[in-house]
This record gives sequence, C-alpha cells and structure tokens, in this order.
Amino acid sequence: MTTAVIQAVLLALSMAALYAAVAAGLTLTVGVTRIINFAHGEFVMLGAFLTYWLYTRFGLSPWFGMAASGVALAILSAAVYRGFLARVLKQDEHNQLLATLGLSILILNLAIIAWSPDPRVMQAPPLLPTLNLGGVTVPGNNIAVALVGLILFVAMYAIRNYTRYGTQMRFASDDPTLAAHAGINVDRVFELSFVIGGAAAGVSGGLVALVLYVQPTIGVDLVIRAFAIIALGGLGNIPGALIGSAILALTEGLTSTFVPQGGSWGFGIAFVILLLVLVVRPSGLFGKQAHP
Amino acid sequence: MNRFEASLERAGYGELVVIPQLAIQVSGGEMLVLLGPNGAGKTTALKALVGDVDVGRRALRLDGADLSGTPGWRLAHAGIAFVPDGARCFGTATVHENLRGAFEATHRHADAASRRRLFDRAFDLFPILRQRLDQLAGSMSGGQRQMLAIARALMIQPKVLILDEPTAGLAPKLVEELFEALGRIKTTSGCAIVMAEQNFAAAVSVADHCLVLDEGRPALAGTVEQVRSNEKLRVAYLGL
Repeated sequence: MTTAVIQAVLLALSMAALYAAVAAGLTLTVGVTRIINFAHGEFVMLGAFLTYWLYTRFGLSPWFGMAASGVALAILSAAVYRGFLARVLKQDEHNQLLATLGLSILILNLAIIAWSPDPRVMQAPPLLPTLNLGGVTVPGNNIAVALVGLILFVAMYAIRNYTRYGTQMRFASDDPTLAAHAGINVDRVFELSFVIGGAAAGVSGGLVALVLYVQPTIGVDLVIRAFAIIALGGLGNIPGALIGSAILALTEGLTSTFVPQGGSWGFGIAFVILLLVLVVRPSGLFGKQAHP
Repeated sequence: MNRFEASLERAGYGELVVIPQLAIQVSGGEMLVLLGPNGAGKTTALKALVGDVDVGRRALRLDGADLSGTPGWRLAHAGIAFVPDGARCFGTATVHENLRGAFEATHRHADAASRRRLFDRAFDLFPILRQRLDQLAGSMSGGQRQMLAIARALMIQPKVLILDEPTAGLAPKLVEELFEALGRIKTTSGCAIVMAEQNFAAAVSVADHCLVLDEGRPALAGTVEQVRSNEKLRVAYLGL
C-alpha cells in the first residue's frame, strides 16, 4: 500500500512539473502583457506534434524535438504577436480575450482537420533510465519530464527576476506609461515576453509527447489546468504557480489512483479545490490581495 | 548647452482641446516654471511635450536636433526625462530595481563605473534612498516615492528634466528639501528643467523663468523678477 502511494505521488509530481512548465510560460506572458492567452494551450499542442513528427518521421530524439519545438513556437509567437495581438492590445480586455480564444479555436480545428482528432503515442525509447527505489519504479520519461519541467520553470523565474529584460517586463506590467518614460520600448518588451512564453509552450509540448497522448485537444486540457494553477498561485507569482501545480497534480493523481473509477473525475475534484480556494482567497493562495 | 525649445498646437484629449497654442524655451542650468490654478492646463502641456496626450502639432528641438517625431519611449534616450505627477514609481520593484532598471533601459552597454557614479549622485541628493534600497517602492511614503521618481529620472542622465507638480501633497519641510535638491540638480548637472507647480512662493526660490497659464493660454511670461513685480497679473493669476 505505501509503495503504491509513493509511486502515485512520484508520478503525480512529474505531472506537476509538466503542468508547472505550461503554467510558467503562460504566467510570464499574462503577468507582463495582461493578455489572457488561450492559444497558449494550442502552442503546447503544436510543440507536442512537432516533437512527435520529428521522432516518427525522421527518427530525431525527443531531446532535439523539445528544443526544435521551443524555437518553432518562439517564431510563431513573434508572428502572432506582431500580426495580430499588437493590434488588439490597445483595445478592451474582452476583445483581447475573444481574439486569443478565437485563435485557440482556429488552431485546434485546423489541427483536427489536418491530423484527425485521434490520439497518438510516441513510442520512443525512454530518454532516461527507469528509477527503481525498493519496489517503487518511476519511468525514465517521467523523470525527464520532471527535470525539464523544473528547469523551464526556474528559467522563467530567473528571466523575470534576475535579468535586465525581466526588470523591464515588470516595469512594463506595473505601469506601461511610466515604463515608456523610463526609456523602455513597452511594445518590444511585451513581444519579448510573449515570445519567451511561446518558447516555453513549445518545450512543454515536447514533454507532453513523452508522457501523454499526442492529440489536437491536449492543449485545451492543459491550458485549463494552467489557468487554474495561475489562479491558485496568484497572477504573475511564479513560485506560487509551482505550488499550485503540485496541489492540482497530486489531487488529480491520487484521486485517479485510489478512488474507484476516480480516473474520470480526478480533474473535477481538482477544480472543486480551485473553486474553494478562490472563494476564500480571491487572489490565490500567494497572490497579493489587492492588485492595483 | 542643452537648449530646449518646444511648441504645441491643439493639445488635449480627443475633441477637447486644452492648450490651443503654447511655446516654451529653456536652457541648461535654468528652470522654467509653469504656474496657474488647477485646470489651467499645466499637466496637459507637459504631457503633450512627451506625447502622452493628443496633440495637433508638436515641435521639439534639443540643441538644434529635431525630436518632433520621436516616440515617447525614445525621448528618454534622447535625454528628455519626464516625471509625471503623483510620485509614480514601479511599486512592485525595489528602490534599487527602480533606479537600476531606468539606468539599464537607456544605457545599452552597462558601464559599471558610470552606473555607480549615477547611484552615488542620487544618494547624495536624496540620502534616504540609500537606506531604502531593498524596500518595495510601493510601500514607501509619498515624499520618498517622489524622491525616487526624480532620482529615477536622473538615472537616464537627462538634458531636459520635466516635472509635473513634484511637491503636490507633500509636507512643507519636504517641499523645501525637494526644491533644494532641484536647485542643486539645476546648477550642478547643467540640465534644463521645466516644472509645473501651484506653489508660486516656493517655486520662485529656484526658478529662473515663469510662464503663467490661464485656461490653456499663456497669460504672462518672463523672468521670475518680472513676474513678481507685475502687480496686476500677480494678483489676478497667482492670488498673491
């Protein structure tokens, strides 16, 4: 029984790292530009497909696939920002919301038309050896996901807090007009944060291909979780998002494993927790309570 | 030299024109103070200079260079610093990050020596900032935030410093301190200062030139001495 619990906890934690990676890119973008980017999930999905195709068609390692997906989605994000989002940025928030939601639905449906809604499994050899600790086994791919997810997460945190561009991102989100008076090209800074968030989505997509089904709707499932995690952790609060990911993944994972037929409602329980948290603390567990 | 010349036409908010026409000139080492009651258009005039409000025509020249078409954020790189009213700071960043971020935004190739020199100068003007380096700007008092706002503007090594009512809402002792600091900035840095102010009595202690605005129109302009000695206008516009 205890081994089963430990096993389930470890697997849930690797999923937590994946969720955290998806949420970290999103929280960087949303925290800086205040654009609620629904299409972030589709960026993750595209990264998953790219990693999958690169492996199945060309035999390229998923390590390479992750990196390539990061680059590809960074480029796509720049194009989306310049061609599309920069134009709606000055409009009302609900217009931005509809714009990114529309983009999300568009990419999702194009993916369904092009690749069919069928789930695929990338049967690549595990990236890392299986971890065996006295009866508890953790597949190597889950370890890879946990490692890369955490690295991605820490990278987003470090960029925001310890680089000159990170300072400019925080200035631009704090007070865009004042940031411009300080000599910051706010539009470029927004674009940069969007591109970095897109790159993180691409790499997360590679992680998805390692441990989940590759299918067009995977982005929707993940982006909903990512928004839940951001809400739990507090907007723009990157460490808060890490703890939010763990709460969500553990609840989900343990419910699926130990509650009879829990697999179908683990996700639901996680959201009941989210609703309860939001009722008690509307700005999340670690959010500042009154954001200007 | 830092000669700054600007002229504005039809500055305001969409259909609402607050400033029909206005021209100002100020040289390095001098301070021009914009005076006038609330609603006279002082803030609108300053915002129009840096492109924060709608303006029909804007001409800016700094040392002969034409900056008329320069977008707002580039003006900081050209040496025009704007300190808006309300002691605005980046509230979720520390004092140190506020200053350093402003330096880095305008100095592409970070030069540690000149950064240290600018930091020292800011601490010299406002010693309290040195003690509050790691404090979040949003948690400081209004007076401290105003000092930080001015210090932040100085981090871009401005040739022209534009200030919107820096002393609004401050205690008299702080007002005196702030004007003393502005006087030192004026005489030691060689930058030209344009300041909107309601407090005539305090402003004239450091100002060289005055421009009195009345319902968006220049009502009276000249040196501080000229304005001070013009009894009729002084009574009419400044209530002194």
